[in-house]
Amino acid sequence: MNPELVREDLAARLGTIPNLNVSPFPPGSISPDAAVFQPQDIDYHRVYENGATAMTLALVLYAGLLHDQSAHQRLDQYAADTGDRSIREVLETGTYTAFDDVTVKRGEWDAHRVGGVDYLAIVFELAIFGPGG
Amino acid sequence: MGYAHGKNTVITVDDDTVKANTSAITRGRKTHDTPGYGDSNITRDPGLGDNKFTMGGIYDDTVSTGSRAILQPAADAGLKVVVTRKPTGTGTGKPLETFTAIISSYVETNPTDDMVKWQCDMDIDGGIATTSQA
Repeated sequence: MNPELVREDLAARLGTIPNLNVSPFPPGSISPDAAVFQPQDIDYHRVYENGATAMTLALVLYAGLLHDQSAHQRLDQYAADTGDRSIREVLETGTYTAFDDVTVKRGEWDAHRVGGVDYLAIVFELAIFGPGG
Repeated sequence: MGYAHGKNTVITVDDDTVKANTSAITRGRKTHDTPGYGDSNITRDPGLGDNKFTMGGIYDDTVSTGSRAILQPAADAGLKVVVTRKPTGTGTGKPLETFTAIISSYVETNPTDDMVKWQCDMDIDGGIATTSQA
């Protein structure tokens, strides 16, 4: 499993959501609505002979300023468990080559600072598994 | 050489490599009690060997060579399978065990919050041949 290819595979899938700026790697600045991938950990040897690897990725989705009601409403759509803007549904129904399975385990609302600005965001926890290929 | 890690273990069933992540082989033996009058402790004599093998892993749906494709048909049909086990991996001089076994149980577990997993228990038919890899 190559973490760079995992990010790119996931970013390509998220790119199918209209009006969502997706970055496989953390950018210096963002333009909401924006999605950024941040690897958390990687577990090797999940199967004999290096047969499979597991990764945890954080997907941070920024939707606007903290007091912006429309940003809250857009985040609700990304957090919904179904829908064409549902992060869970879009990622879990994709077809990938860099890994075998992605599960969107949970999301947590938070405020994230980028470039000195506090943005309303949800941090999704993604569980990635497989050798891919 | 010293301690060995399990990550290099290789298991094959009828020449197909099984993508397991845990396994155990038990070399067992029946014993027969032979105490007589005057004995303070139970005396015993060895009986027949009774060997077991278990393995488990994460469900692999690869057609014809995935864990389910290899194990489920043999379990359903009660077929004897030939198993090879390399406990410390592939390499010249490393141990190689070969035995014939019957799958006594094959279990698939489907949790909602984790990968599908499988567990296979085997009763070994006869002995375990142990050699060194060429």
